[in-house]
Amino acid sequence: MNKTKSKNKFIVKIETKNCKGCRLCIVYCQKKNLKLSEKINHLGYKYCEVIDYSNCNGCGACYLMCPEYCVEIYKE
Amino acid sequence: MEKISSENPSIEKTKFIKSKGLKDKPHNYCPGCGHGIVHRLVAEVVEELGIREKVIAVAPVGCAVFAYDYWNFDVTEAPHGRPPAVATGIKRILPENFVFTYQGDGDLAAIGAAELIHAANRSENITIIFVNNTVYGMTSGQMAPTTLLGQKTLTTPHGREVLRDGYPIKVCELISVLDGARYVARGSVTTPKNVLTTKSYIKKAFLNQIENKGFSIVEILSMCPAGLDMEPLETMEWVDKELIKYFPLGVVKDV
Repeated sequence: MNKTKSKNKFIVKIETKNCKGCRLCIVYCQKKNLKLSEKINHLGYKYCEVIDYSNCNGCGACYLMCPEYCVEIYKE
Repeated sequence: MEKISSENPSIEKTKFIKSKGLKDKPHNYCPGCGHGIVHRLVAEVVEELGIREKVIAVAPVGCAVFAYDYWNFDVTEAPHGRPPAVATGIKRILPENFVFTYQGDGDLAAIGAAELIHAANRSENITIIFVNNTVYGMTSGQMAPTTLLGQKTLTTPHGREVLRDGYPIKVCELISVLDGARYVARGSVTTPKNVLTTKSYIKKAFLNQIENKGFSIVEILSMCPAGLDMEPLETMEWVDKELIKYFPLGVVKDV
């Protein structure tokens, strides 16, 4: 348990107002930790949401693939 | 894959935040467009090399026309296809500044082919970022010189034919024949791995200009879901499977 806790040091921040729902981040998330929302944002798109904030391993694939710069990952 | 990445100590030190080379303004590209990723890569490289105050970018006509709204450094506008000529002028007058152009395939390979070839032949000390998505994206997907054979576009509804439309132009291979070209590479932005590789190509091309080595060009295979009339994920798979067969990735020339 301690080992898994020490790995979970990353905070994902998603700017949902700029998201256009292209799903490039969802496909490449190693932990399958992202999904599309049920609601729509002010642009009219379903936006990307984090399923479990403690499950991120900080690989940065979502950051690398997001064309709208919505994703930011911080180290705790 | 998960095991390797979670045990990799370098990942523990990494954090991913938006580069200062990008403005906060949300851009008006279509969902799943590759331009956003390439904009970010260029901004990150500029920031890493510490040349943001010296950069002058030249944007052409096409989807990249509003690049000055998204990059946090100087960007000027050029007529359709003429960025290599405009960049030549800027670089010759201001040799201390860093000059690069950001062009699409309809701009660079069609109307701007003469400017490109002669800028490469003179080995002007400029860098060209060439975004290849095989269609004229801004005008909703007409055939471009880089459109694949058999590919359906707005102006080739039954697919591109050799007898009528000729063959797709391989710009990198074409330029690499010229003695003036110093660095020619082709990357893509379809997977995280390809994105990182492309970033290293862009960095190398930018370093070439800083070291006064001469002309360098980086072609980037990108996706245009609106122009190709596909879903964003479908487009990405198509680029990965079909486009890479005709336009192989890698460094074509490095002198």
